[in-house]
This record gives sequence, structure tokens and C-alpha cells, in this order.
Amino acid sequence: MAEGSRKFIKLKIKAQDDTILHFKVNPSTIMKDIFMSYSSKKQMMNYKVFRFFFDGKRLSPKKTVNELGLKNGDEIDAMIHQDGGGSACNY
Amino acid sequence: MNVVRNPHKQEEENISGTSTSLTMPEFNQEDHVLFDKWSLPIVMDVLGNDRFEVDVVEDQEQNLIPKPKIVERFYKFGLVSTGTQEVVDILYGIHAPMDAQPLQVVTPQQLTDTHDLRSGNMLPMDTNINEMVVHEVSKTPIQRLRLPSKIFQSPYVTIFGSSDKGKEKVDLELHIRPNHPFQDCMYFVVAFPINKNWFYAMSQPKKCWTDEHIDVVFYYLRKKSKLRSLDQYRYTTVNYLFKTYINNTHERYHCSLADDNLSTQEHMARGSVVSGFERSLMNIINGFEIPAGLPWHSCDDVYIPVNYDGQFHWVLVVVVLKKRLIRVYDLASGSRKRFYSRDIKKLSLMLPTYLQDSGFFEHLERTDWSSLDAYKDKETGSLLEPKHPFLVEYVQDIIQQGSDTLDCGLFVAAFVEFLSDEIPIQFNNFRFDYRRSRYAALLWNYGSEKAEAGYVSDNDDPSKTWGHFTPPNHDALVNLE
Repeated sequence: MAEGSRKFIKLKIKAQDDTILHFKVNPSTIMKDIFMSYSSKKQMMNYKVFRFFFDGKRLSPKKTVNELGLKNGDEIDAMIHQDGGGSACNY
Repeated sequence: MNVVRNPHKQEEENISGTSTSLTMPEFNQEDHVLFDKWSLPIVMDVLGNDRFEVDVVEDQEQNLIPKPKIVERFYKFGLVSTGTQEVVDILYGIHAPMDAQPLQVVTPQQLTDTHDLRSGNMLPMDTNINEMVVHEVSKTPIQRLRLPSKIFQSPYVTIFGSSDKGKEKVDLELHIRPNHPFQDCMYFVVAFPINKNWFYAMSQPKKCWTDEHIDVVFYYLRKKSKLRSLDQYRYTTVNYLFKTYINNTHERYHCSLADDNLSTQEHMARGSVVSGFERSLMNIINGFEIPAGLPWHSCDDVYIPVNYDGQFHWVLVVVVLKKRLIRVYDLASGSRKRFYSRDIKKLSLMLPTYLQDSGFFEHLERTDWSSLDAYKDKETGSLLEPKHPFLVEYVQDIIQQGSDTLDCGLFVAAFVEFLSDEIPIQFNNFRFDYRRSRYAALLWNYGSEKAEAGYVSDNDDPSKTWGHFTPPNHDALVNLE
């Protein structure tokens, strides 16, 4: 079976709350695809509201899984982005 | 002046008299004459700037009129008149179509070999054209789209102008524009700007800085600190997630309202999540987890960027470890302090616990932390319990940002740089706009140089090993689950 002979990598994406989503991806998958499907699962229109961290570094959305060296079972942290402008909203 | 109101007869004679001079070179211009089968006023630029309007009437059986005749006739009019305005007035007077009379001009044989003619039947006959104005021909310039060339040198720089001859061979090695930095992406170790907007937001006023900007600046400051020896002033920074972890753990241990109603199983799950954050916090304190981190026990100060939770504001927090003190630099303090102080409170509450848990006091290489007065209990003289929070000090009389400048991210970055280099901050001449563009320019320059030369950041951190790159299989299907 062709599907079985392919190498898949299982990744976990952990949100700031408890939830963990499991992804089975191909090593040549571009990270952006994973981010986008994660965001759609989280009912977010834009994947850029999340910051995806692995090993304390942000993951580039343009690279593939293999280029980033992600291994089977690696856990990615999905954090909400933070902006700051100071007095933009006045109280 | 002997020009009468309707001088057609005379003009006919004049024209027929000079009809042999068909090829007067100065009038052999194209595209100035257009006429109808019927009477048509024609505006021409015969004598420089003067515009004459003459009705040209054709013979009934003759569709075509040679252009040079008409031109010459205009010319004559121009000679006759003394003042331009007068002539124009007269010509307007003879303009009326009902007065128009056939104009015998040339024979059809002469017409056939003139190329400048346009036959009247090329115009739509049914449209009632009684006036047609022909302006001086000017080509509408096509709008030019300027695109960046791949070659620096212009192709038209030889002495032969645009000629191909003599053009030097362009040395592709030298003149090809280096790879655009975003063809791959810029690599700042902790963040990846994928387009120019990242730098735009950094450099332009009234653009807010996101966590990526803050993290990149803090990362490079951290790297700078690594170069210092142990007897110098040492500091370290953390990334923006540190405060997020603190918030999560604080919620678990101190804001028990929501957690009270959890079932036992939910408590287990919640506890495991929080333990992940706790592990991260302790790793950071020990100098792991974040790139180029330093263990806190070898530092004097720790700079923490704090994003006030949901309040859209960056604040710099300096943990002065030797004094057991948290110093807060708030660019927009004052009226909003009471809203934000609870965020700082979380930090002051949670820090002692994790300092103790991470074995901070066991490292005596640089400082004997437990012997410091700040960490001693006043009464018993033993090490202060973690339940005593850090002292909080709001730095007063610092520069305040404008009400709509969105500068607080920049402020945080710039203050860390000043404080870490132990340079007194000049409040009266802070020059936010200059500092914004400075950070953006420095990072842009560094990032593009890095992308161009293909540098890879050295990574001497004790972290996970990264896999080797294998060429991706392009025909493999993307399977997302």
C-alpha cells in the first residue's frame, strides 16, 4: 500500500489552554498549511494571531517540516500574539 | 484689408492658380487635415500658434481634396490678415455651412498619388458631423511601469547610446542584484519577518510593535550580554512568553474562583498543563529554553517585557535580583497604574516560588544569594519564604509617551538598551522617530546581509538537536489531519 510506505510525522500543537491538537503531516509539508488548518480548527480566520513556538523559537511559516527539523512526536506551542501601543485605547 | 465677408470666389481663383505646387515641403505635414464630404470646419496649426478655422467645401462628385491646397489657402489667409484676431473673426464669419460653395481644387489624377489624403467615406456617413476639430497630433504617452531590474547597470550607458555594439558584457557575478531577502525569509533566530511590513511597522510612527519586534530586540540584547565577563554588570532578558507563563500559573494558584468548580479529573488535566508552564519558567531561570539565555544566578538584572494583559500596552519590568525588587518602567503610568498594578503583582507573587524551585539559591559562583540582606527574613535571619512577594517599585518621573504615538514597544526596547549599557537616559531629547528607524534599519541591514551571505546563526545553546535537511519530495501529497 502506497500510503503506508510514506513517512509521516506526528506533531502536537498545544494551545495556551489545555487543548492539544494532533497533526499527521508529511515531511515536505509547508508549515503554513499546518498553521492554517490549526487556525481553522480553532475557528480563527488568520493564522497570524497565533505564534507557533518550538524550542523557544518561532517557526517560520515558509519552511517545511523537514527543514525545521521537526521530529515525530514534537510538541509545538501555539501562543496568542501580543501587541502593544500604549495609549491607543484610553480609559 | 480687402478680405470680404465671403471671399470664396477669390479664393478659388487663387487656389486654382497655385494648384500646381502640390508638394510644398513646409506644408507637407501629416495628420493635420481631416475633412468630410460635406462642409467641415477645420482647425489647423498653420502659422505657429494661430488657429484658423475654415470651412472646406468639396465638390459634389469629388470626395477628396488634396491637403496641400487647403493648407496653402490657410496660409494665404494668414498673410492677408494683419491681426490674428481679425482673421479669426473673419473666418468665423465664413464658417456658416449654408454659405459654403463648392471648391474646385484639383483633378482626381492628382489625388491618387497623394498618401496624405483620407477619403470621406471612411467616416460614418449617417452621423451628422458638422464640426470636426483636429488638434495637433500628440501621442499619448504610455504609462511606464518601473520595475526593479535584475541588473544594476543600465543597458544604455555606452557612448553609442542604445546601440548594442560596444556594450560591455555585464558581469553577472558583480551586477546581479543580490537575492531579495524575502525570497526565503529573514532569519532572526527567534522570529521570521516574512515581508517588509514587519520593518515598516517598526520604523514608522504610530505603528505598534508586536511581540516579534520585542523578542528580536531582546534576543540580540541577550546575546550582547553573553559576551560580558562575570565581574561586569550582567543582565539577561526573557521573551514575552515569560509573562504569559506567569499569568497561567498565577491563575492556577491564586485565582481559584474558576478552579473551585472543576472536577477532580479536570484538576488533573489543568495541573498537567500548568506544570508544563512551570517547567518552562524554571528552564528559563536556569538559562535554557530560550535561545542565548543566561542563568539568572549569574546576572544582576533581568529585563522582562510585560504586555499588560489585554490592555494593549508594553511595559518594561526590571527584576533587580540583588535587592529582591521589581522595578517597573511604564511609559504611560499615572492614571492607568491602578489597572495594571495587578499584572505586576502576579509577577511579584510568583517569582519567589520559581526562583526557589529552580535551585537559584544553590548557585554561589557569582553571588551568594542567600546571604544577601534582601533575601533574609528580618526577624529570624533565615532565607525569606517564597510566600513573601518581591518588592515593587514604580519608577517615577520618566518620560511619558504622547497620547497617540503607540511608542511603548519602542520605549521598552530603548530603555533596556540604555539600562543594560548603564547609560543615563536623557528624557528631554529622546527622539522616538530616530530610534524607531534606527532599530528598523539595523535589523534590516543585518537581516539582509545575513540572507545574502547565507549565514547561519551559531547556536551554542544546550537545546534539542535539529534534524538534518533532506530534500523534500515534491510529488508527495500533503496530508493534513
